[in-house]
Amino acid sequence: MWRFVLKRVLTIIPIMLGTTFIVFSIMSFAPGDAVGMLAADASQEEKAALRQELGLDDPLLIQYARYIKNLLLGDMGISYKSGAPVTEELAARIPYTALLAVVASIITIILAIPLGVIAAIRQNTFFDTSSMVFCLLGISIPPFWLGLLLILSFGVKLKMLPVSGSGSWAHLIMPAITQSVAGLATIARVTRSSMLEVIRQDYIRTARAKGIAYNQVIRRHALKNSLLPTITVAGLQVGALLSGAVVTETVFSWPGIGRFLVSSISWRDTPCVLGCVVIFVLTFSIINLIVDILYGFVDPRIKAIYKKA
Amino acid sequence: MNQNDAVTAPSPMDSLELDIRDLRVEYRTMEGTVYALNGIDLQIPKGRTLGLVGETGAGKSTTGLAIMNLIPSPPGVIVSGSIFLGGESILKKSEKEMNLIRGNKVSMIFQDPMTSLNPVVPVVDQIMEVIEHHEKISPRESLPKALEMLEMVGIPRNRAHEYPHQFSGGMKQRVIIAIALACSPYLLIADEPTTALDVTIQAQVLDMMRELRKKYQMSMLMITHDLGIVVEICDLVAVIYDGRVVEHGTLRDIFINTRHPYTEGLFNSLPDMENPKAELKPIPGLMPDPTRIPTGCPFHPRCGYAMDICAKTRPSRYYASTEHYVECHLYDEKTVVSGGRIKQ
Repeated sequence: MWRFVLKRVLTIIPIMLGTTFIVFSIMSFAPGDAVGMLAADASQEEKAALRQELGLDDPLLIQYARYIKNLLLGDMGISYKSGAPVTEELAARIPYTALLAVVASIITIILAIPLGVIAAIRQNTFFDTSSMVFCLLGISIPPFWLGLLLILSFGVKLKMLPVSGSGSWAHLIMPAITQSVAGLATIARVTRSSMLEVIRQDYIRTARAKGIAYNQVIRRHALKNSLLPTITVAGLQVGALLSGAVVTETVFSWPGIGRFLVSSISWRDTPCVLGCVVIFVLTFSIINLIVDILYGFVDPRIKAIYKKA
Repeated sequence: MNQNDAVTAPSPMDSLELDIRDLRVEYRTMEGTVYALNGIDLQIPKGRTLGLVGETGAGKSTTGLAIMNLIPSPPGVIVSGSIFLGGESILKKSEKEMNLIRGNKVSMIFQDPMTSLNPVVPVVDQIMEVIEHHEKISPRESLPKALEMLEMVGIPRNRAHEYPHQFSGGMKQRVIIAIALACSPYLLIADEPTTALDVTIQAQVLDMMRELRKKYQMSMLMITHDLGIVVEICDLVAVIYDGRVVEHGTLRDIFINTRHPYTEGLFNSLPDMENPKAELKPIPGLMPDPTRIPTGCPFHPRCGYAMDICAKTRPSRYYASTEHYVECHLYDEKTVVSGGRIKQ
């Protein structure tokens, strides 16, 4: 088991190198650079001097190698725009993104799994049909549009909630809803279909033949078996929360990493962009690792495979 | 019921473990209504084993599920009839009352051991569950009992905490039998318990079931299409066709004094040990589409003895003895005793 975990942790290294290299290349090849944005009014000589100072004249591979070397030493570079270390910039924003992601995940999981389970055991009832229509809408509606609609209705018209920014729990409500709807809908649908499959299994009939009440059969026998696909999708959805953060945080002016990434891209602030990417990739990899380990706890057959590996 | 039976029945009602009368079950789907059971009658005296024999789709499993009151609904509907278990009417019980009976007074072993155990729960826990439920005891108290059950079906204690995927098919079926017997039921329904197992394991499992039946003195409904199993384990046999008993009797009645052409057809489909070169004579055709049952005797389209009347009216039941009866137009009160055109 521990060997399996160690192996998976080691695979994070090539993933990290690959993603940072791709992003690094895209930032270099994209037209314009930080110097053009920061010192638009400076003379050609001043710009050239600045480029040399920032090392932007060096070949791509050398620049990249320098970045990786510094990254390994825990130095993510200096923000071109603010002049502050990238680690500080990120440290100031991570708590906001984390708070939003955690709240959104909790809403998603707490609502999606019961919704899917109840829809499955009451298949073809009004509850089932209406919740699946809701899920279809949830998957189809783009988050930025949903965010804007929420702002319009609850913020501007009803004046119930603050339109944007952060600072109180009230500020958190609309971004959290916007972030969670798509994942909630996806997970509920997956839970429903996997539950529908499980409750037709022979072992459910065996459990009922023991005289166990149906609700208890669902709780003790069906739930754990139906959770595998749910966990897979939930892991992917938590990953999607990160990319969703980019949109949601921008729409609601939420001071997290997502919004920071967008503004860093427009300032061509490569160290900051890379910093955000490193955080995202790391989080995503760790969540996927947790999902794989969870499989082993849910299904002894998978645990046996891990042990063999 | 036929008056004959009422007068000469050897066993009074109260000694019947299971008494099914005129049970009709339908599955009502969008594509049409499937008539699964069409007035089936089954009686099992206490301590005896009845073999329920028939082709796939004859309604064997539906009968078993009906006794457990576990017919999936929708689409299943019990239209009419009665099921008495130890004198109590099953169909009048609430779900809550049924949950005190299932696994306790009546248990069922299902056909496929590969899929009948929960893959994510250790086997001993699956046995403990039924004991805890019916005896209202804690896991600490139920564990020794569950281990004892496992040992009784031949599974060593040190494997008790393993998961079903670590067990072979035969071992899984043993676990399922242990679950079914854990609360010493009065009636055990075994739905093709050995069909999914290979022949040597079949013999072991059957031997074990025979011993346990003696030990617990329980009645048994053995659902099977295998006449070999019937000979080995059953006292009585009911041959069912299209959701109705067409011939019923003791082993000897069915195997030696065969009356119904369908029963004869079942025997003719088996290889003859004394004359292995003889060609098999399978029953031509298939079970009728249960959404469109033929008029008259449902077997007439496949029956070599069919007469004009067979397509028109359902044959009534004639008794050769108190236990041996047949539903076929070939017979009347007299010929059913002397035997008709079917020779053995």
